[in-house]
Amino acid sequence: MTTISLLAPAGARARRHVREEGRSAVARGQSATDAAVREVYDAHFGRLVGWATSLVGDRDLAHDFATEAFIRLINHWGQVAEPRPWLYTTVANQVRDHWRKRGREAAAYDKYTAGRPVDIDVAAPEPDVATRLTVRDAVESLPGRLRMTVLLHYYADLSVAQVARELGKSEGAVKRDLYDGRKLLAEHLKQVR
Amino acid sequence: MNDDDLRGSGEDRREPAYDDDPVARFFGAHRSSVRPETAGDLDWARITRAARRRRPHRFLAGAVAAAAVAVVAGFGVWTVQAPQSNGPAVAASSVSSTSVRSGTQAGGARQPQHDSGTPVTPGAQSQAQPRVVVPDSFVTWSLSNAGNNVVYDLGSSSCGAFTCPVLLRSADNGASWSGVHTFDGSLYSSPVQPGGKHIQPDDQLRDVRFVTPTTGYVFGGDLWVTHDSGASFSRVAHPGRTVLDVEAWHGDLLVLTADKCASSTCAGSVSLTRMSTSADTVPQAASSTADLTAPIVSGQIVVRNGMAYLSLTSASDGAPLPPLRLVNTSLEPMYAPGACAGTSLQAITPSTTLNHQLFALCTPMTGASRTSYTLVHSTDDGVTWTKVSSGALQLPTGSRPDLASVDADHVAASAGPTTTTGAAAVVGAGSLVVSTDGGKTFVAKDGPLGLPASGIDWLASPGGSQYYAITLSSSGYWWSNDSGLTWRLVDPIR
Repeated sequence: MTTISLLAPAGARARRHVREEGRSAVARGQSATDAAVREVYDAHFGRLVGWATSLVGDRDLAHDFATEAFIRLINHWGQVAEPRPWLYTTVANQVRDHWRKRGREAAAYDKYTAGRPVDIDVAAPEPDVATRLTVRDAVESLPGRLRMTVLLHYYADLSVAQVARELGKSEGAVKRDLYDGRKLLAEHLKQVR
Repeated sequence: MNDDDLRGSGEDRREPAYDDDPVARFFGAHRSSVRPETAGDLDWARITRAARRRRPHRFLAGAVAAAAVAVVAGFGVWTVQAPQSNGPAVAASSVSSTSVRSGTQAGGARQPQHDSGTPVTPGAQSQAQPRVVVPDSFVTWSLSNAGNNVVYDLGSSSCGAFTCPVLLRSADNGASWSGVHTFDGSLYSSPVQPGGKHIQPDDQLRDVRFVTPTTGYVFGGDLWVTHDSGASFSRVAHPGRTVLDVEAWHGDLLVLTADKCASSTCAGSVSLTRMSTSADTVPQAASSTADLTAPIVSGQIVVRNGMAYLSLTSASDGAPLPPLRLVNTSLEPMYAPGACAGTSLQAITPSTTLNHQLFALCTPMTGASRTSYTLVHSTDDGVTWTKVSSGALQLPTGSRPDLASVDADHVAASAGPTTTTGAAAVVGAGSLVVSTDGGKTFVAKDGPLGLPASGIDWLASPGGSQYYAITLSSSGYWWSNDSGLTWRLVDPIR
């Protein structure tokens, strides 16, 4: 009886010690992660919001996208080799989903307005057609398989190797996609100019 | 984006993005016009807090995994021993005028899911705090009369460089006040005033509702409960992603939530959930869900005589969507009478001393400075409506209208400091008007009272002959105890 009553608390103390050690280590790890990601945040958050804003035209929404990307980055820090490409890819995925959703809403709205133009500012000077083409217009003029590659390389400024790693493709495949995308876009730009 | 920086100290990256071709030039031009936003401490604090919420606890994860193994093992045994049958029935819910979403489980001790699939963290605690003097920087946001002369006032105060919600309590109907809880985990960037932004991010708190002098709720994106007069709070699990409104009625709590919320807009579905105020759990078959036909910027519950009504505001133009009424477990649309000329009912409010009686507005006729409304009245819980007046009620154009009523004769209306979509409105004079003849005529009250020109953000009657009005720009609130004839400022700081 005595042995049991002594052993049980000792066992409990040992388990508690292990748990506290573990918790302490986890807390230290979280603190180190937060500090590391904070550096990335200072360097990239503002530009990432601006980049996303230019794509979705809504600063609040872009802010949400960038925030979400950083939340995920903190929780996946140990698995992220290069934060910047990872962040831009994460935001680009959200932008793509938003475009798809907005595309469906816009189609429904067009149906509602029977294609009639709404709120055209007739007094505004006609801008140069090439400058009026948005990045979204350009990217969405491409087949789906090329869009992310083109967006990440040309607009997020990720290298071919980075795009390949983020999209899980070979560098050769990325180069081929960029070649095809550039060919189609060059034609598109020529038409709208 | 600076292309020199991107190229990396003059290194020739030999990347297609830097070829001299029209495509590279097109993207390069757009890239260089990207304007960076600021990256502040407040955003960082929100990111780390949200990350911690989602971060699975390693020890807990281990326990969950072990429990899962045990459950799987148990299930394996059960499936061998028990005869085959269907799984437990899913609570009937989800009724909409336009669509039906089936299979929304509302009952049991489940872990509620955000629409992103991230579990919220029920049971989080905000430990008991000692009572403090009311901070000098206090601004009233939301008010709740808990009965027995106990009033709670949720507002803002300085929290370091930011603003955070503070809950005040008065046990003598507003004569004296003390601070009972500071929510320093819910930061607003100073000097933000939430105004018409009724849809709040997950971690922010904006409104208060007390059901007894000791039990009450604060909510914004989340829902927290106290059972000790506001000393401590714990987070309440709820269906849906974001809490839009909370109302209590005879021991039941009605919680309006919505999914797919971002940037003060929700685009998923709305759920009205009935909870017990004593158990803080979601009972079986408690949720009724309606799919939204358009994104919304606000949703309010009105509850009276056991009936619940939902007012929803469209995000696209701030127009009211057809309100919904809870019938058994269904949310059914409420149709406006012919007097409303095809417009939706809005600003539905009960007469707080009478059962079955409601007032509502419709047919806004917009003028340059004033918008006139048709006022309608129902004596059968909104089944039928009678026109009271058309054009007698006029409020400043562009501002969000609010309505309150004490009884069939006494109605008050106000105009908010924001538009229906939450943008700042130019309100000016006439932001608070009162009727003593059932809405046939109205008299402006704001001028003699010296109310701020920004208008009234919230107007309500807590019962009896009382009205409350909140401006969002003052430490205090306006109170009438004679059905709106006279008003006085109740200021917790003085």
